[in-house]
Amino acid sequence: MNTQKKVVTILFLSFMLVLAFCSFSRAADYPTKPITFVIPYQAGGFTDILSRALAESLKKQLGQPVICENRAGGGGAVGLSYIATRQPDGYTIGLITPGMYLAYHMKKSELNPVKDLTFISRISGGMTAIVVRTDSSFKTVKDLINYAKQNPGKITYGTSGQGTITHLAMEELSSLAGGVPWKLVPYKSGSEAATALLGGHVDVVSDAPSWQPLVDAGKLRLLAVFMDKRSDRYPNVPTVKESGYDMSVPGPNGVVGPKGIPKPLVQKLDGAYRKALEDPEVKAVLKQYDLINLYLNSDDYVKAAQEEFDWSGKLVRKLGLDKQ
Amino acid sequence: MELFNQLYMGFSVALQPNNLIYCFLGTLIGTLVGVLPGLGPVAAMSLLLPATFHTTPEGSIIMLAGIYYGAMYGGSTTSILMNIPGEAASIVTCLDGHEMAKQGRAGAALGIAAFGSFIAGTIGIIGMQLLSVPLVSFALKFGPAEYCSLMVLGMVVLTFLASASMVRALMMASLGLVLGCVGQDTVSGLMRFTYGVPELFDGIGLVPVVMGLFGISEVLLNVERVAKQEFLEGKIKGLLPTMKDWAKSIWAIIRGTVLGFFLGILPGGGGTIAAFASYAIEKRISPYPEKFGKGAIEGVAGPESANNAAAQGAFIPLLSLGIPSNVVMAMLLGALIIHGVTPGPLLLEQHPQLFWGVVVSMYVGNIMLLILNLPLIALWVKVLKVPYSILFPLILLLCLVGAYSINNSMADVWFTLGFGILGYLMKKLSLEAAPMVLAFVLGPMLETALRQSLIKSNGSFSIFFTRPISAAFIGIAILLFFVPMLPKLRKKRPGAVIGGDDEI
Repeated sequence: MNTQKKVVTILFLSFMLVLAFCSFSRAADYPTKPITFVIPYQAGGFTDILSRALAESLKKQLGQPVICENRAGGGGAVGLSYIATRQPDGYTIGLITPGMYLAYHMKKSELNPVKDLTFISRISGGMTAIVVRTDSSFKTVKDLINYAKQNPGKITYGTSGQGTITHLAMEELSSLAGGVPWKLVPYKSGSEAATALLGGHVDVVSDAPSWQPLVDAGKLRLLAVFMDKRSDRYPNVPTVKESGYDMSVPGPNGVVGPKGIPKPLVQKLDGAYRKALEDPEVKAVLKQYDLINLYLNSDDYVKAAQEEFDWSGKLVRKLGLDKQ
Repeated sequence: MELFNQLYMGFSVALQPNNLIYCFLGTLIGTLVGVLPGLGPVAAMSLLLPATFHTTPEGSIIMLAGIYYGAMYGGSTTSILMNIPGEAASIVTCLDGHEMAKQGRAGAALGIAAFGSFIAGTIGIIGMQLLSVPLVSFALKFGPAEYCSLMVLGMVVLTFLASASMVRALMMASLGLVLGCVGQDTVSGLMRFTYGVPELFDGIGLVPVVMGLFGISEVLLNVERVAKQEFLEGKIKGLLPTMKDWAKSIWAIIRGTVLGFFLGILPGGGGTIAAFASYAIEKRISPYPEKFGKGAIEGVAGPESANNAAAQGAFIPLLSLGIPSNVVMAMLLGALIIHGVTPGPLLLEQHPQLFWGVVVSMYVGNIMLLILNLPLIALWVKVLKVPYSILFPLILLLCLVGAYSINNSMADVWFTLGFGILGYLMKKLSLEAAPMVLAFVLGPMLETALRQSLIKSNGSFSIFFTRPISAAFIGIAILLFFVPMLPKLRKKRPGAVIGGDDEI
């Protein structure tokens, strides 16, 4: 070969080598552009604030901005169906909450979270609890249930809607207690329900965590929490299990993406979220909203999500809420 | 004396240079955001919310609050100039404000809107300071039965909006009720008319509906007219309201303020309903109701004051109970919590400087807004002189971008366009949009409240009559509905349409 041909050949081979390395190191390069994080709820709520704090931490770790986009609607359905239809290239991810598993079983949403999404990391769990007014005569959950049984139809409880996790929690409690004749008064939001409780229009509220300012101010009182362990912020409040009814509603939220994100990218994101949960700013948010760190890595999260999915399905069918 | 100490504390916080800057930024952004159709304070606040994490709690609340009530000032501008509601609460300002603009009196309309907003805002803040506690305990007494009766009263007030044929107005109201049914029903959790479209789960958005019905349809109508070069026919008659305008408007402003403030306090109430109610009431008690819809200045002064007063009133449940009465307040709540401040009864005790600092900064903000808006009137009025062939594509663009910005969703854009076409057809058939919009807003609230009440009363309708507040509202509604039909009163009011013995 003459010199020119040699040079061209060497250049060409080097180019191919570089290309080859490029494709291997793709995961290491990720992310090369900003990531969009879809929050399926309105700005200002705790899902929004938590997501933004996590996004800040991810930006520091991954070197690329994580842009939060609110796509509210349908209790999360709008945002989540948007996520599910994006390219699985790791550049669009978002938050999922337990309500979305319920929505599928209650035939409100076509999105099957387990089938249609990639599970990246489980993040935290919210505070679902039973709340009454401070001057109420009920001191424990048993008091409430006994009174309700003796006076059928008198006790009303408010939730942030029909078919929400807080509604189902109360119904499950009722079935464990042998059928409690209390009435559900659904409201449009947790704040409305808390206001109604304060004004004496309902007797009990089961919701998370719109009652927080009022409990702190001493106007409302927690009877029990639906979590596995007692809350850090309210250590004197028993869990529902401790009150004698073996159930809990951890209600975890987590980061998901469209189905089919390549494993290396998922692992990179997963690792970043695990570290993010150690970030002091994120921890501050968790503390403010009394959220528990329920981190699971992506493989464990897939299994946990399946369990959550099945549990939701059983509960919905048991309560007959899957018939539209 | 206590009050002066509190105000002094407030001033010492609000007048700090960086808080003044936050206040100015907030009100400026709020005005701009209010002027741009569709883009509401919610969008602006959600963009700026993360930025406020790194500032002091006082600074962030001062700025975010400034955006909110600033938007109420700015919302009237596009309503008056181009018949596009900048905010849902500015819909009613379109009705008479735009007519005034067409008559060359845009300056007076903009001026009275600005002054009315200022007076309402200031009175609202005083109300906040002095009356928070009693008002909150009154508002807490509002259960589902009271809300339902209030909505019934609202529906009766709706009939006052009819300008021409009562039958047509009621037809449109019925259409509004049907459209209001779309979405997930609160009480049963069932999806209605959603056809599996996730964007419809929460119902059709109010902002796309009004932007389409009022704004886009107006553009479609204007474009149809044979080549008009300028939008404005006559000359521009003066930039500020005259003494006569003031004389007519001052009571409307006061009535609107009181009405708006009260409705703003109710969780779930708001500027939109307040503005509609104010308009309907002004029309009803006016000695010349036939002028409404053709440029009556009370039709601008009352509603604008009402929506600003409602914006102030909405702060009360948040600051005193920690309960947000609308989306904007929910964001402020988030901002407060992230700074470790829990709003509610403890706010005053634990963070008095925050509370009073924010209250005083609202005074300052309102003054800033007045100073900002008045000179701009001359500028805005010039906009009307721009040839319509340039103006209308711009208006369309702003509307569509504004629609998208609500929730980053194309669905809202399609709705805006669809309702624009509907609005165009409606205008051609002389069918009024205002009753439809009010029914669209009130209907779902009425239905939910009705069913919640019946759940509580085990199906008995007596709950509406045995509870005093509820019974009072129903009583007023019955009075308002039947009394005007008495033959004696019918003859005295030629302009108002009652009973409607006209053909379709």
